Amino acid sequence: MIERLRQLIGDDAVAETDFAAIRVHGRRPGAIVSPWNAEQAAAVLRTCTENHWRVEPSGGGTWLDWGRAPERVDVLLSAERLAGVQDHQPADLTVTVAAGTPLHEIAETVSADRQTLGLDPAVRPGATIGAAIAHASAGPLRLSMGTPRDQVLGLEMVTGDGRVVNVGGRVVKNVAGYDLVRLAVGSRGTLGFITRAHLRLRPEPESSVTALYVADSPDPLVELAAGPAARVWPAALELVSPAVVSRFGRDPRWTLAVRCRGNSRFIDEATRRLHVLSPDTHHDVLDEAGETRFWEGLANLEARAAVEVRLTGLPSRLRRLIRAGHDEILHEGTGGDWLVAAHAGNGIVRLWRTDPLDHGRTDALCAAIGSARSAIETDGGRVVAPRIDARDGSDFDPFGHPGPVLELMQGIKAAFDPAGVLSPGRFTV
Amino acid sequence: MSNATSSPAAPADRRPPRPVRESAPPLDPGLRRALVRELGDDAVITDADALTVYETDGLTAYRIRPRAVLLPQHTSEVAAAIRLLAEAGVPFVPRGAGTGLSGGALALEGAAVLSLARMNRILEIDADNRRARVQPGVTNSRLSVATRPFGLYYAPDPSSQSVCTIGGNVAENAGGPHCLKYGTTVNHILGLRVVLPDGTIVDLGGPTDGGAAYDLTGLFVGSEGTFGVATEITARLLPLPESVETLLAQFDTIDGATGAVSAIIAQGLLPAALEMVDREATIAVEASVYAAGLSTDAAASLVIEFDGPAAGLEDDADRAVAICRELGATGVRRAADEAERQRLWYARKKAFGAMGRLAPDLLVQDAVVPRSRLPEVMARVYDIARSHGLRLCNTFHAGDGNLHPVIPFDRRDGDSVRRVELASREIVQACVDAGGTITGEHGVGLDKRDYMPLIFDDTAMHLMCDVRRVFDPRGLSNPAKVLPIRTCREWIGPATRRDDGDGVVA
Repeated sequence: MIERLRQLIGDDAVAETDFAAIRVHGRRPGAIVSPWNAEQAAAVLRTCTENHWRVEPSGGGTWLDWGRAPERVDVLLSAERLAGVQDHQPADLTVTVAAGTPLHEIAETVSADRQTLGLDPAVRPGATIGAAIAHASAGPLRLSMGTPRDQVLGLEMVTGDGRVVNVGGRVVKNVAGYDLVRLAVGSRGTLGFITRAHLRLRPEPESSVTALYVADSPDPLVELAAGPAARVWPAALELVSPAVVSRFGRDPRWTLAVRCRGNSRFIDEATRRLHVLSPDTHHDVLDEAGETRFWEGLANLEARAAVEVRLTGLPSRLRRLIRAGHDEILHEGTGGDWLVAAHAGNGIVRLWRTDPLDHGRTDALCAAIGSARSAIETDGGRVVAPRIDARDGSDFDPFGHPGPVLELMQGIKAAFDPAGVLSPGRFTV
Repeated sequence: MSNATSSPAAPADRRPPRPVRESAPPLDPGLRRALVRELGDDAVITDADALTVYETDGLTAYRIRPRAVLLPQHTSEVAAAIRLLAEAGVPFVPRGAGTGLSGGALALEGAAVLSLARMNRILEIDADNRRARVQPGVTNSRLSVATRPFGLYYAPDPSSQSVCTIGGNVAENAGGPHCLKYGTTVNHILGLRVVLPDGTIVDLGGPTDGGAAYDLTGLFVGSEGTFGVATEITARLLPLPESVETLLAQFDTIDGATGAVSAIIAQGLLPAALEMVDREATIAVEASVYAAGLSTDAAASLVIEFDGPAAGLEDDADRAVAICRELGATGVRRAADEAERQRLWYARKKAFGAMGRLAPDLLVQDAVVPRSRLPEVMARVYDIARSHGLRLCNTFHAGDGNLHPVIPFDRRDGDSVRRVELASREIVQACVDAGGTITGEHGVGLDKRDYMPLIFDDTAMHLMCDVRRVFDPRGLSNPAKVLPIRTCREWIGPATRRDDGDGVVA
């Protein structure tokens, strides 16, 4: 296989992994292939389809342990050589980037023109835009800036059987044809290997302010988030557990962070309102340094997750979601040191730990998720475990069954990846 | 008549139907009886006179009499009707208010029209979660009126919003002036209940975004009725803006106006809307009942609106005024009150209607170009019209580069038709050459089907054929729309090549 691949795209683009540290859920890839362009990636995928070699796409190698463990990995297809900001058009608020470009590089480039992608997912260093798009990752700013589903205008991608296809376009309004971009975003690499993206930008807000409100339980803060805090036009609303803030050297209490962004007159007014938002709650309006420390600290902490569980549901059910996560799933037996944070305006609760769990505790966690799952789904919510090292052969389902849409998903998967070589068995389809 | 009949050598399947009343064969009596049993007698229309209204949509140059018109009232009736039609091999075309501008509601291939007009209930407004569940026949503006008491509204605001339906908006991924800041329909749809072309009912999306499935909701929005029918729509609502500032700036030159558009965006301002109206369009508006006191001397006018929290809004508006003056605005007017604001918007939103007085027929285009290329593309568009001896009006969403060149003509004048078609193709080509796309909000439908190869190669179109087949293997849902007919007929995709008896029929 390695010989074949080397013949296709050159010796230096194909590496054996005997001594390399890269593992996908503990599986060692047969080869690491780093094409120089989309055509080479296409040749590789065509060959893999012909030979039924299984492919795992990779950007910076920071997201490889998502979902279920693969049975085997023949080729790790890396976007590391497809990197660089290719075209930034400030007057159009658009930027074209190669998929292997690290997120921070894009942010640095566009901020020179006071623009921003508006994407702040908690990612490990080296995380690429391609992976962020594949996993539809977003952070606290999703409340005001949206997610990759809203930010990607067009993609160049290679299908599982090696066809290079351009979906979407480069302009901010486009309804021509079917929205294959939206299919690709969040498809976790199961529909194709993304090689280039056209992204929508926003002006970078002039100024920002964050206030922290603390309480002994999450309940009053959930009320605060849904009521008064929602009315200050927040850019982000994060509710975090005592364990999280104590890592920042703060008093270990439940904390609601309310962040506002905008021009300076708006921020002056917002600051005034934040001071009087909740007279009965102890609060802190952070200075600039403190604000940066808080948000970067939270992102870094979440980026180091070794195990992660996500509960999603209606924002009005936030209290129930936190209870289901914090009290029911994280009960005794799964070990301490769990961290909890919620995107309060979006109904998304994340539970994570930076240390891995042993097999016994992982089993207990899987069992707890399983029991909580049907109650949460009846309530209109969902529990997924995007990062979990379930035991080989365990029947734990990290994502849960997608429901009747599975058949449609299978049809779509077959259209993009007829031989099923892209991450088979790791997602719901 | 169409954009595609310009070349006499156009192959047969590229020529859309001619503007005569064609009639499909009548509905089989057995099928008719079965439909009446399911939907009720008054919900099955086959009488020729009654069908006339459904022959056309917003593009009145196309007229095709449907085989029948069905008016279901519930999801179950939609499913029953579709199942009966599928059994008989009769295609169907979903229809909202019939205001579409791409011929999307035309009943090609002997299709029956499935009108959603009677499914017009607002099922639920969930203010706590800022969402509403509605039937597809609910009028766009009616939704915002209903949610207003909760301090919420539905943001996508196509110019036809007082008539067009949410279901139609979903099919086309409709836009409107405020999508510059707020996005288009697809950014505001959280979930859909869909009846697939075989009658199966399936829920897409929904309250949770767990990341466990593909974004089928996002895929369905904008699929122009070719994937089935949405019978329940969960829409995202936004809080009403605290404050609004609306400006009108008039310019002596088109370049001044387009330059101001670029400068406003480049300087970090994001208006809620940024619209342009040129002199020709202004003349039409001022001569109509929608007159708003715009000066007809100006080469172009900009309607600029900022909305959001009151604090800081005036600063943004002040900066925009300064930019306009720097770029040569001859006058800048700020709406003093809500009444004046409404008048300014009425003039813009009704401009298309006002232009309807100019001639029996109108060509409307919907191309998008990168904002920064607006000045050069606009100059080119005026040149093209001039070179063909045609009149041209522009009233459009300058902020996101979405042009709406409008050319009045008379379809009874064969020479005028020929010139309009040539001009139309040249305009679309100019926009595509500038890095744009063929449609920003009206959809491809029938009207722009043959322009698809200008922006998509065969690989991309074949993939779209395959995705369509997943939803509609027999091609019964709004046939002959969006994709060039020959493209899908010629392509046997990988999924259909697989010989495992899964029944996907080419």
